[in-house]
Amino acid sequence: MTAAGPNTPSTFELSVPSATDYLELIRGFVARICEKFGIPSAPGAHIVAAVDEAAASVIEHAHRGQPGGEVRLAVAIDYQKLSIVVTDDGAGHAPEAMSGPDPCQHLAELRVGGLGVYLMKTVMDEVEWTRDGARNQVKMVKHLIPKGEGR
Amino acid sequence: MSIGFDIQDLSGVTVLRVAGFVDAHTAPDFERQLVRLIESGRTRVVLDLAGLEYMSSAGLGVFMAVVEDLRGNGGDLRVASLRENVRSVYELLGFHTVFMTFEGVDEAVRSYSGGDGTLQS
Repeated sequence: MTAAGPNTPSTFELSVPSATDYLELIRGFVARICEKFGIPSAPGAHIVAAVDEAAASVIEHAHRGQPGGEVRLAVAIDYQKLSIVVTDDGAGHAPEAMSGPDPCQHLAELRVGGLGVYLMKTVMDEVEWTRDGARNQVKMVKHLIPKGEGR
Repeated sequence: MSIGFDIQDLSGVTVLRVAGFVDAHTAPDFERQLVRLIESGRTRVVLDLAGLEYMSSAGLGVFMAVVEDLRGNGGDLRVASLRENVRSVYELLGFHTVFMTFEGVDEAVRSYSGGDGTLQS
C-alpha cells in the first residue's frame, strides 16, 4: 500500500496464484478498499463483481485453468475515481469479442457466456483490454463523482 | 464455508438452499447439485438464495445450463429470497425476465400450484 499525498492516489497491489480458489481473496481485497474509502455498498458491490469477472476470465482463458501463473491487481483510488488494473502473463485472449451487447437476447436464446464481460462494461465507466508483450491487461475505471464536478 | 447446500422436498417441489458464494470456483459444485436433482427426477425446483452472499456470472450461467432440461421435463427453476447485492447483478443481467422470482420460498413453492410469479419483461 502507498499512502496518498494531497494530490496523489492511494495505491494497493495484490498478487495471487492463477487459481479460482483465490477469487474470494481478490473480492475481499477490493471490498475492503471500497469500504475504507467510503464507496456506498451498491456501487462497491458492482466494482467487486467486475473485478471478480476480470480475474476469473484471466484464470479461465489466459491461463487455461493451469496452475503456476499469477494474477496481479493494482488499485489506485483518489476522490475522483477508482482505477483497477488486472494483469496476467498468460495467453492472449479477446474478451471484447465475447461480449453480449444485448443480455436479454442472450438469455432468450439460453446462451451461456459473455455475461461477465457485459457486466464489467455495464457497471464500470471504462474497460479496456490491452496486450503488452507477454502480458494481458484489463484496466477498469469507476468515476466516484460525476465528471465535471471535480474539486 | 465457500458453498453449502441443503435439499428439502415440499409438496412435490424441491427446495435447494444455497449458502455461501457461487463464483467461478464453486459454480461446478452448484451445477452438480442441480444435475443430481434432475437425474433423480426432481424437476420442479426452487432455489432458496437467502444464504447466498455473492453470485458471479458463472453461477448465473449454471441457471442457463440446466433450465432447458428442467423445463423440457415439465419442471422449472424458480428463485426466492435474493439478497440485495445478489439481486442487483441478477437483474442487471436480465435474469428476472427469464426466471420467476419471489420474495420468499413459500410463495415460490405455491407458484407451482398456480400462484403468481414475477417474471418481468
